[in-house]
Amino acid sequence: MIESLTVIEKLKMGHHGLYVWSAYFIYGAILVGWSISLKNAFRLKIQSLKKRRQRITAYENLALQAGSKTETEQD
Amino acid sequence: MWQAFKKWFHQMGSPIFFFQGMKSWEFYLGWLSFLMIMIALLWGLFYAPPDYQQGDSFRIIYIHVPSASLAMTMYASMAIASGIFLVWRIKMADMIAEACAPIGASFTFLALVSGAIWGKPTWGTWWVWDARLTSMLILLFLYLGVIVLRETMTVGFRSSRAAALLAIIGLINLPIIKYSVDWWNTLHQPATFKMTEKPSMPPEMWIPLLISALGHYLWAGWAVIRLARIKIINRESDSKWFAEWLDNRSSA
Repeated sequence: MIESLTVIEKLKMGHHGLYVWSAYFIYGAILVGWSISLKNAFRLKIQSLKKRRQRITAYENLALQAGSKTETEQD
Repeated sequence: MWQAFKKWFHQMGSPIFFFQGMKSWEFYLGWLSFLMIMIALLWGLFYAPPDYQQGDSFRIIYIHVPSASLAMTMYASMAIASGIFLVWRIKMADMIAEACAPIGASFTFLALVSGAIWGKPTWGTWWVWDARLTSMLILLFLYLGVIVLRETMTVGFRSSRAAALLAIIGLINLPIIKYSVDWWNTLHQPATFKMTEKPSMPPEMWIPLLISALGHYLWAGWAVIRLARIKIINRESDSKWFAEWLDNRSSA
């Protein structure tokens, strides 16, 4: 009990705790926000481009198939 | 050694080399910065002794000083990259300058906000039109100006050129920020660290500050590389090399 009280007192930092913790909160929000958004933005961008590339490849294959079919019909 | 560095530096001017070569750097910078920042903040918050005059409010120093220092360094980096872009038309330099702007603006904002929060218990006020504070506010406006120029002008090259010019003109503000505490009578204290002098704080206070500053520099390096790589994807997504890279990545 005494130990936990001292921890709380230490976290309160006298009458300066509110200032210190609010500064660290804003700092944490900005730094963590940047880190997460940069990490996700890269991943999502790659994912969407990968899907686009797969679609293009699928269309190209379809076009190739259709082309070869027309050639066979002509023969 | 110098020749190897020169070769590496020239290669980094190419988006292909930058995109692929910086991947491993990103990984190490990310983890190292995370470790250093965690150690520094825990040390600063819980183990460093309180200041004999300011008490516990001095602990804001561990985020305020690295933020303020990075705000200026990022601006200098942005201006150098802009200069390289204007002279040699290297598009990678333009992308680096573009990546520096939002990161630097965030650190400037953070320096101003943490300074205001620290100012209240120390000076009794959130804000004064002091030379240091005002020049930092101008730095934030310069960053915002560069970002807005890039976002609002539709022609790519013209917006890059306009932003680069503004970044270079704004360089004049950096010595004003640095020496404002010496040139004018300000409420803000002089520099915490000087290369030529022993720190006035005891080691248990300045060692975590040094670790925090280094950690934040590494984090900024990580963020700029990451953002620059995202910008490369945006600009080069239709190029052949990127399609090949994507195919190799999908098959791996």
